[in-house]
Amino acid sequence: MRRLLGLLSKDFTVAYRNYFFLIVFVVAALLIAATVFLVPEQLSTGTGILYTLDEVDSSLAKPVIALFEGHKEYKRLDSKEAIVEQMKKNKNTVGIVIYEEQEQLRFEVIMQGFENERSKNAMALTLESLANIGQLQAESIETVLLDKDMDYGKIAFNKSIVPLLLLNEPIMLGFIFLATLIFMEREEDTIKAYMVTPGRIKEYLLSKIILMMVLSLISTILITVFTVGIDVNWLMLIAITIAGSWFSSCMAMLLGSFFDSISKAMIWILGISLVLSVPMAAYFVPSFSPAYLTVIPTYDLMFALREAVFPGTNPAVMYRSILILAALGAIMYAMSVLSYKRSLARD
Amino acid sequence: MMRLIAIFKRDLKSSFREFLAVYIIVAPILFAIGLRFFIPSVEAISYQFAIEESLGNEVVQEFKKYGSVETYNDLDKLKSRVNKVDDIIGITKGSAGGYAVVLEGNEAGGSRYIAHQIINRLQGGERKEIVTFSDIGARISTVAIYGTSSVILMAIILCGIVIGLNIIEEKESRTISALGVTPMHRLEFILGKSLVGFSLPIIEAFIIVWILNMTNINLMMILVMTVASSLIAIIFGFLIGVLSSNQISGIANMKFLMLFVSASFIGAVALPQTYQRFLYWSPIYWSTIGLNSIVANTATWPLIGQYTMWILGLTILIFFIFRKKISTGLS
Repeated sequence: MRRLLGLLSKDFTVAYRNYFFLIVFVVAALLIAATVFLVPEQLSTGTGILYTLDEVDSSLAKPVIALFEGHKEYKRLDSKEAIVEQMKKNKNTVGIVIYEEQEQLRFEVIMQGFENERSKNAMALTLESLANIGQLQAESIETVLLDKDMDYGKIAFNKSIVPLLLLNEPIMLGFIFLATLIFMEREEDTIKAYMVTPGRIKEYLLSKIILMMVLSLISTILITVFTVGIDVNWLMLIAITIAGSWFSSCMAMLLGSFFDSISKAMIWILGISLVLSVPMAAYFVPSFSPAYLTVIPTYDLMFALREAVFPGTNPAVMYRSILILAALGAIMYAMSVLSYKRSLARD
Repeated sequence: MMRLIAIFKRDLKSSFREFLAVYIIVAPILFAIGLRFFIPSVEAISYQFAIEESLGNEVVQEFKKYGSVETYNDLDKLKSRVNKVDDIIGITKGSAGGYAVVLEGNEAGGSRYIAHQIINRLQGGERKEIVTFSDIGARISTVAIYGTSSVILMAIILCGIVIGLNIIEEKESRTISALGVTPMHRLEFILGKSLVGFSLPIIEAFIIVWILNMTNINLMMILVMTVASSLIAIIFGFLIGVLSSNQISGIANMKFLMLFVSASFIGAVALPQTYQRFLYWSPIYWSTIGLNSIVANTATWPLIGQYTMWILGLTILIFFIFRKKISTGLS
């Protein structure tokens, strides 16, 4: 324990002298400023619907228009030409021309051209249901709600991105910083000097992981408090941050054991960082969950962070994510210890 | 000129020796290949349904028209699937013999009602053909557009990082001091170092465009935008090189660079038009919108000229701000 405390003292000093703490504070301040002042509170991440009325009896179209006006994604324009013009500028939009034929409301849906058949079917079904809304409401279909009703769409956009920031910055921070620290000491042969002391390699590595956890926690707390506030599940947020930092640090450590200089490891560090951030693509499109995405540990981690920051419906994801990250981190930690022992024995 | 080429060849040889250049070239290509497989799955995004098998094949087939379907023979398993973090709507038998829709509670608005509408159709709801479709002829999705431009931008930035790491290596091995006593001018050194940052992105941009099957876009525009964007990466590379005393601090500086690049890119693609003026100061912003418009086939030469002028102007400004720092750092 005393050896570990000694190592921690040395690592914290090295991190301080190399401006790690300053970088954490500056990056957190930049992210907070961007989130609070630059990112808008209202921003639709779904498909925008542009619609226009083409000589329709107002009483016939009234229920549909009332529904359209209740959604922020729907925008009324003057003509079909205006819709097409807007659609060319924003490819994340679909147009609807509402018109009347034989006293029946009809819809011409203008798509971009790359949409799939299922999306078209769903669009047609939704519009047909809207036109016959009375019929749909008359049907008695049971609805079973498994958890508390929670609409993440009601959270301000700039706050809703906070879990992504926490995943990208504090948690993945360990990945870059730890690799940096390891290569710095490798260049200075600190590890060889350490090995002639009674200290063990696992303590040497553990000390660096603890440093990364502390840096991650500082960053997480700063970003959360100054963007979302204090009304979050702190216990789980801290536990998830520690588990995430443990995972990313152990991965960096294992990666570092295969290379002798940071320039050789750099592309792997950047490449793996990018792969780990791919699940972010699913954050605003929760129905996008192909297997190759969900097997990446950061997929569950991202939703676990959302659950901790906006406590709501799915606490299980937090426990699952913590367990998976802890287990994966432990495996990589054990492999790192073996790898470092072997490379030191070889030297 | 000979000295300039000698520096270029030396940089290339040094990078290849440490496999750095190989990684830098291969990484964006691998990402482009990954993106080639990723794009179709994103474009096929639809609703997801978990259906109890006992409801029968007719129900499964009807739901398949609107989304992907998973079937379950056990209600608990179905509920457990619905409870996972993604949006999937469960369909099972209702207590009164009809249908029941199982929701987790946090589903996005549209997906909450689509199952009711499909069931309504199944229960014999009247079908009127009141919807017709047309399109504006866009064949490339936003994912393909942003994906392509982000990989090209990544290739450009990585080449800038190579320049930075090469300069740091020169500083660490003190070859910069040795070069100082040769007849070589500082400008030759700068231009020689910059050649990697100009040549590699051009080759890579064309390979990426070919891998992603985007060869119908204006390749001349891609060339212009890549060369202009390379200037930013080169300046950043030099800044990383001169501001960092060793490779470790180089990585720390690179972290800020990546933050700046990703913020500019995300802002350019995600922020509404009214907020985009806050990003006009960033040359990466102009590169992003330039590359996006070329890939989307909406770019015109006057527009590309305008974006290029912004990039050049801002890059020159950044160069003049840090001119002394670069000059001192290289001496």
